[in-house]
Amino acid sequence: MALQAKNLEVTYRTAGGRSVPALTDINLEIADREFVTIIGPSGCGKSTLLKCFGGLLSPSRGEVTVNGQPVTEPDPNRAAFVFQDYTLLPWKNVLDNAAVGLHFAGRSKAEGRAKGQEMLELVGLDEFAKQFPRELSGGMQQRVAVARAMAMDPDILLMDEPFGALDEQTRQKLGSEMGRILTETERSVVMVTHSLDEAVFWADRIIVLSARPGRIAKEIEVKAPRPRSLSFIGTDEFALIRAELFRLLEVPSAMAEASQ
Amino acid sequence: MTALQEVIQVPPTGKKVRRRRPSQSAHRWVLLAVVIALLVAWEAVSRLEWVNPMFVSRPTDIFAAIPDVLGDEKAVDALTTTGTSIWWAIVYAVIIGIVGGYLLGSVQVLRDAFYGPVNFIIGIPKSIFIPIFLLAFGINTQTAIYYGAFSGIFYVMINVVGGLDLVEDRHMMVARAYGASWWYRVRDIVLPASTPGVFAGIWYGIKNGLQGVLIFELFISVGGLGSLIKTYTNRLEIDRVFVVVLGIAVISIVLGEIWSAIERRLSRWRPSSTANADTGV
Repeated sequence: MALQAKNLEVTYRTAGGRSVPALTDINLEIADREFVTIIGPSGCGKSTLLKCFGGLLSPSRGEVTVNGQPVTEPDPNRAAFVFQDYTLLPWKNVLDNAAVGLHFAGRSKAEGRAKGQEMLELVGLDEFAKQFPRELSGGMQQRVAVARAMAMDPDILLMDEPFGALDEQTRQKLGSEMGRILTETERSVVMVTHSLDEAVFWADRIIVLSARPGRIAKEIEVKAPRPRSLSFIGTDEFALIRAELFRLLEVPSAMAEASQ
Repeated sequence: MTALQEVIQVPPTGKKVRRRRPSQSAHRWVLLAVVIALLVAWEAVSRLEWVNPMFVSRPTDIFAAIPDVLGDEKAVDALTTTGTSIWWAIVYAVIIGIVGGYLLGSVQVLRDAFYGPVNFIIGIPKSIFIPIFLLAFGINTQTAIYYGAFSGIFYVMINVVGGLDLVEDRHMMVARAYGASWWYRVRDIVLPASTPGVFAGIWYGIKNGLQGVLIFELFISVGGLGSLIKTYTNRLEIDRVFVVVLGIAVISIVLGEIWSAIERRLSRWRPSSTANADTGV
């Protein structure tokens, strides 16, 4: 088992001293090489949960472990993040961005660049190594962000709405290619998304969170083998799961029913 | 072009095609024509004696005076004195300003305490402090350096603080998520992210340091180009005054161009590498 969350609870304290529960009663296990998507209403704590998984946020109660080790602070070798809005460092070229995690870990420049180059080849951007992020499209920048995470050779990849800032056409094209890459690299992946299509297309398992305070309302398994081609979107399995998600997210009574 | 490039529409290797816009060279000719027209008008006004030529020299007289001034030993000494003073004033202003700016921008208590006073000093004419500098450091060229540095420091500081405000939380979060130590966060995130403010600050340090030294030399006779202007003015050698002013303008423009070139080189990563500091003198 790659990741385990036990009785996880996150409570924020407002400026006025009031406690606001963001997540409650989260119990979850993610297996090796499993691709899990997390979906839920806006503000339900999806990103908060991902930050807890990666050690960027300490839960108010409960525990997160990766391969049996408790997560108390970020460790990109254990869990590496891919954030929503690219977050490449604009003053570093593409290769140095891909190798930045290794640079922060104190590895030599040569080693970092060799690994960075290898990861850029994996995502098909090796010929753009010397360019600056501003010279790349949004989709390409996000590929570099994936290369940056993969360069750390992490046990788990944590992706926070990684394609949220892209247009629909680029999302589909990139999603299909990244699905293949991530399947080939055999990582466990947890991806937060607000897109029903993405949630179904990528996942082995979909975790549906209820509205704030977020709790797991339902888990849905997607049986089709990965990697999937874009034709999967036209299958009955895709349509049925998508309809189920739509019902859960758009019809409040359905979510309440599922939560019980 | 690969299939991927076709989909994403990005130039294949980042080689930029540089084309001069047709209007660009025309624009330069128009500028040159305007300058020549102004010089001709100035010459005409002076020759027709619409203004007293004793107080406003003709352009032809000014150009004729250039070899005289360059051959004047006092002028060469003054240029050396002012050049040295400006250099040290800029060095002090930039170093103290950058260190002070980073302290002010990153330590909340210091920011709360000193941001207001620094803004206040920027808003008032620095020349009112000249008597205090004279009392503290005496009448000598070293005081001109201190006053020049004082004239530039606060502009550097305030721009560095502005630069620190450009550091984005999302980049700091990446550094944290990827295990960057304090030193890496400063070196790889804070310093590069704040460079637009630092560059603007350095430019204002150069500009105000230069002005400070010249103003001090004009007010107090400690040698240098400022004092030389005063000497030539007292002798009613207005053509020579204009030559010195022209020389100062050239120094200022050269410094500005050198700095703009350095800044463009160091800012290649920015969305618009031409969006550098306002280097208008």
